[in-house]
Amino acid sequence: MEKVSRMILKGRVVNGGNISGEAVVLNIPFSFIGDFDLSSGCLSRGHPMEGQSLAGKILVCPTGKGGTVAPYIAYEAMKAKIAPVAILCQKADPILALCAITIDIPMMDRIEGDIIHQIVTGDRVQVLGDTGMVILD
Amino acid sequence: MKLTNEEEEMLAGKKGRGTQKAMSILVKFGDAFGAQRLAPVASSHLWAIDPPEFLLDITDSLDTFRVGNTTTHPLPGFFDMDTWQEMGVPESFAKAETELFAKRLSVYKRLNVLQTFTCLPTLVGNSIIQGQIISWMGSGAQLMANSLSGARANREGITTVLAAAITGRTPYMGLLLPENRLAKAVVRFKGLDTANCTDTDFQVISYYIGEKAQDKNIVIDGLPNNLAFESLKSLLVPLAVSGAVGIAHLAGITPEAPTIDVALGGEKARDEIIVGRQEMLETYAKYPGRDGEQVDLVVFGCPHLTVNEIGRIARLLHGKKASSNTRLWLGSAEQILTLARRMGFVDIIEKAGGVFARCCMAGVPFGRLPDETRVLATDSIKAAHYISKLTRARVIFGSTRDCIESVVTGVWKR
Repeated sequence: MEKVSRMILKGRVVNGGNISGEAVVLNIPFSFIGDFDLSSGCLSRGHPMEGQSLAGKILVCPTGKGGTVAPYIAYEAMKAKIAPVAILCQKADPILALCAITIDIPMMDRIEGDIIHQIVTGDRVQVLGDTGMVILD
Repeated sequence: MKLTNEEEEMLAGKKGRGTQKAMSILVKFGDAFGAQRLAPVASSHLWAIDPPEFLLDITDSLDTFRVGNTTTHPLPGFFDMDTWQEMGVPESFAKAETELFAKRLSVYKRLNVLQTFTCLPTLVGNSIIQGQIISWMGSGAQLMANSLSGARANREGITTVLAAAITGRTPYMGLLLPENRLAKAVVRFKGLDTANCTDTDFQVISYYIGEKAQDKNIVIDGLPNNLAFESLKSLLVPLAVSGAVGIAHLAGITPEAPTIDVALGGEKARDEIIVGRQEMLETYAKYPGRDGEQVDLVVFGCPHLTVNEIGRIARLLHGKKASSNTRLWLGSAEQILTLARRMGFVDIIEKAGGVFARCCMAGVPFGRLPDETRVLATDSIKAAHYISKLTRARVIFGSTRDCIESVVTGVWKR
């Protein structure tokens, strides 16, 4: 895909806050329980992107899934400083939203365009959760 | 979201910092999912595994929970503070959990939380009735509350449940609204006599339906109306394991489903799920045992055992002894064990080598098995599902009778 140098996309804010960082893009739904290894901060055994670290990254994914215990894992990850620092998704599900709210990291969904394909793992992204904008540098 | 004056005060921090944090979580969460207001909560069921720092922080300056009836979900997977040594779980794991537990316990005592440590709160004092809004942990407990009693619970996570106990409120959304509780898919049986299904059969049927239904509300047709609680729990709980079903109406049995039409709200079902013998057999084969393989550990009690289930195991084990190579764990609530002891069941099982625990027998969130455990057998498809994902053990799912047989002989027999 042709890359535009700088793009500003609008989205809906699930949890506010501004931060910039490096993106990790998943093309399948994500859960902190099952997909995330709390001992390393990486995607866990059996995940298509196994070993990819989420620590300090901006997680980009279609939506969340699964277990009601996930906010606990997110909290422990935050304490160990291996949690993602923001979440962007196509459509927020309650559990992933609750993870972001519990550890108070910016989270947005329903972002213009197709973030799963417009953003590539390693891209620098600014999340402006206070104004509802995402900037792709 | 529109808040009452009292809710505004909580959000502004006038009722303490912890309450402010709790209210802020609920408001953000409700706003994100289109809730117009908060609703008063009648009953809480808390996770017993909250990170202590989080628990202490959010209950700061609180003397009592605003929800009067508050119970706790099981202890963490494979940790019971009284029986961990007999269970044989690694000491380093148990020591770390003991410390965490002591920190949480100080909060439970201060706030009058009933230390039930079970996933079946209705059996130990957390009574609920139709129409009540409740905020509970546990996908199985939430599903049973919605489906059996007609109380209203959302599939929610640890943080909102704790915040609801603190504030007495939960966002009015999802399955709390009558119109969102209607069934969208109908489940029918083909060539299966449900009046003669065992509870193991019901678990398998449920696991199959959950995979097909995903997160849809369902209504199940063709069940006899005299099913015991144990059969109902077997039929419901796996729906939230292989799928994310929040409510399953049982036509002619449960409060909101006198008929299929009522459960569907007069609409036509969008999907139909058919379960027959073939589907059942295929699902049975998902966690197979190999003939003659050594079984290191047998796990019962996911969900926790009722007193009748403990009685059944005691009758099967009467006069027998566990093989010296095989451990036997049973999960239940302390209150249930008191009655089971009175009935003589506990004595028979303990003499045979069984160990009782009040923890999550599915190993959630990340239980540690005894070091030598390579093969584990269970009569719970939920336990088989989670333990096979959370540990390195090979997991066999089979009937209670086959599991007991493997406890006694130490090997799996097909």
